[in-house]
Amino acid sequence: MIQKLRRRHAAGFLTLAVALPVALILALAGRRQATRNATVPADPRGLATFDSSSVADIANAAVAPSTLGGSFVVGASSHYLVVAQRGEPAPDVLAYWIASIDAVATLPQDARLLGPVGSSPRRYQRPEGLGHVAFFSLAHGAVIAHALPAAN
Amino acid sequence: MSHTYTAVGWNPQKRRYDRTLLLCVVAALAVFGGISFARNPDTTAETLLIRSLGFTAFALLHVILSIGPLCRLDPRFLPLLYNRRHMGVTMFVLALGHGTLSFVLYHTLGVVSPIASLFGGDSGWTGFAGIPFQPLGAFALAILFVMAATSHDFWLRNLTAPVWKALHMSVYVAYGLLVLHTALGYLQSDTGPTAAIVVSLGALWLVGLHLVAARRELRLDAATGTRADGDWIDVGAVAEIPENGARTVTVAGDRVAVFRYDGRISAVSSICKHQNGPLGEGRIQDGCIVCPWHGYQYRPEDGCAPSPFTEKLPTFAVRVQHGRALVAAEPLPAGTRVEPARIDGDGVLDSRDFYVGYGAPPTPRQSRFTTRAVAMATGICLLALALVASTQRSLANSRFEFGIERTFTGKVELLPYPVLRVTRPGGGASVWMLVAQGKHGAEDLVRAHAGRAIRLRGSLVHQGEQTMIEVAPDSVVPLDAATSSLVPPPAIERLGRMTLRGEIVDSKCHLGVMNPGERRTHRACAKLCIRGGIPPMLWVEDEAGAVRRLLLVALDGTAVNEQVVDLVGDPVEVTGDVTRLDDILLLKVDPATIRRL
Ligand code: HEM
Ligand code: FES
Repeated sequence: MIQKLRRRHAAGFLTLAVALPVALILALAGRRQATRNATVPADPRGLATFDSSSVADIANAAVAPSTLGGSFVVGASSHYLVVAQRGEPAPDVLAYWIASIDAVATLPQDARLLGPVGSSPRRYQRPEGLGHVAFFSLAHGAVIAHALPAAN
Repeated sequence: MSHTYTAVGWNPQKRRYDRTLLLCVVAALAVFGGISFARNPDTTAETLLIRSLGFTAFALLHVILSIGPLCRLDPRFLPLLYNRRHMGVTMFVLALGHGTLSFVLYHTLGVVSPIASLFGGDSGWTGFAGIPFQPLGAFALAILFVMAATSHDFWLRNLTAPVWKALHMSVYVAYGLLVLHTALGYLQSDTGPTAAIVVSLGALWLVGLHLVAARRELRLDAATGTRADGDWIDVGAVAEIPENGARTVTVAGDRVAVFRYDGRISAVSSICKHQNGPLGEGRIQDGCIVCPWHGYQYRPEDGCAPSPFTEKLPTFAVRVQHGRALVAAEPLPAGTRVEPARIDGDGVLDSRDFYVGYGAPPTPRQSRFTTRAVAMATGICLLALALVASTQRSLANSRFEFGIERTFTGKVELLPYPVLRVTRPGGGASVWMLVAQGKHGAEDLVRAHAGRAIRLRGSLVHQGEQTMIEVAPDSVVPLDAATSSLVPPPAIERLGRMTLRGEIVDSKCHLGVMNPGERRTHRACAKLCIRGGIPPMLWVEDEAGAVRRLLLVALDGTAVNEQVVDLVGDPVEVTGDVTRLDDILLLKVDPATIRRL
């Protein structure tokens, strides 16, 4: 009895010893190849995105912590503002130029839309005069961060 | 046959074994889960659990399957075998957690029954590597279930040892299925080399170890059982049989254990009545042969277990001649008493020193060995788990505001997939996709309001700059025409014809309801979602890693769910016209021209 069982054990295991490596090699050989594209459609959230190092390039980049965690960076020059999101994601964030900061998280009537914000930096024309950048989540209906960009 | 159930007998060794086992399992879950979380903080808790449980169970299975052959090669591993049953049941519980969570997450709440989805949902695959991996895991889980359910000695007695043993050998089938489950699932999605090398080394180790142990067994069978004098078989010099131990010979294909104790020789079948353990590797304690596997006892002179037990072994007549032990070629009926043969004056060898978890306490040497073996096995498993966990593909930065409902206002459009166009203060509109709960599209919920403003409640799903709402049932309220007119007309821009390589995903899971929500591991779920009306999206990346997601639309502007369902989860090449509508991209395509890569 025990011999029969052991022979069956051996036969079963030998089958596995042969079949398993074959199956494993076949499975690994069939793994997907990378599918990158030379070009993809332009960013539908508009305006040219550009080299992310440019945020760091702009002197005095301000960091604005977000109420959702994460933060936004605002780089400023006399003509441009560069905005980008860091860390924790937030839904449908738009950057606005506002004259002054209200304690409440609502967007003031005179807020001026700069444009969408994402993890890749975007550059917007800097409005005249003094102001702050407010980060407004359209999906949450709330201002989640603001920053005072460096003066011209 | 009637056998009564007796509860598991506990003893301090078993408790210690279980405590150690539990500690190692917790350590493994913590190492895998902790490293995974550190590497991918945005992964969902379900994925963390599924992966930690799956890989810990798989690692434990390797340990379980190593113990048998290791004990054949070196009896000092026997303490690990003693309570291996608990390891098996623990592994099953981990695997059950993994399987149940996967089943619920990937197969429920869809348009076909969960069982049909598990076994038949992932159709339309091509090539060996495309074989659906989840049914393989389910078959393995079924085998592990039968084994765990019948692991108690109650079943062993009811089914009889040969049937039980044969049943439990199907663990090798389960192991084969699980290697494939991993190779055709996880390793198809995580295409880095590390996990593939770790899984392959695991298989190589087990196969190699079993082959080495089998070779040793064959040699043992060949080396023993030289026929002497008519019906008697020469076992070898009495001096070579260790005191209180045995020498095993093969008689007519079956093993016989010839024991030496108190200046006497007795021979019994070497096959333990419990689980066929090798009695010849046991030793005599307090006048009884003790099985090295789980401690069943038999008297050497008649093969009977001491009262109240009733197991009986076949016995063999023995003789000592010129310092050599001889055993009869034919067994006597189980339990037949045989007068032990006396030996005079021959040297006594050291009895082999090992401990099997019961009876006499272990020698310090054996204790040290056991501790080292456990530490080594745990260390190797933790290292393997850490390697796999730390090389996982990095996952998306996505969110699903599960359980948080907000109110939204906007204009419904069918593109043909339902979207909500929401006015941006200061100009323009954002487009958010709408889906229903579970694996269902939202078309039925909002179709009646197409072209008009509505208010609805729902939970946000977002990744990158793409936003989606999971619409709460019965929450849609139509608004007046004045509100509709406030939403600016769509900004439409034709971006031209493009050929793009990427993967078709179900937008809901991919954008954040599951993370990961793409690639092979997600394929069955994606198919269920797309069948249920979730908008299919092409997910593409450029060389620098910039991601775009395009809603797939047929040339006549209708949905392509049915036509692309078999293509999801695998790399494809799609050619079509790209259009930007506000802030989302549409790809108009003839589904018949989509090419699987
Ligand atoms: C009904 C049974 C089962 C189902 C539905 C199932 C499903 C899955 C799924 C969906 C994945 C991919 C998860 C991901 O990475 O996103 C997976 C992976 C895996 N499964 Fe299973 N499985 C089952 C049984 C088993 C069993 C019995 C084991 C044995 C230990 C196992 C071991 C693994 C391992 C090691 C992985 C790779 C790690 C991971 O991705 O989670 N599975 N399984
Ligand atoms: S096989 Fe379990 S005690 Fe012998």
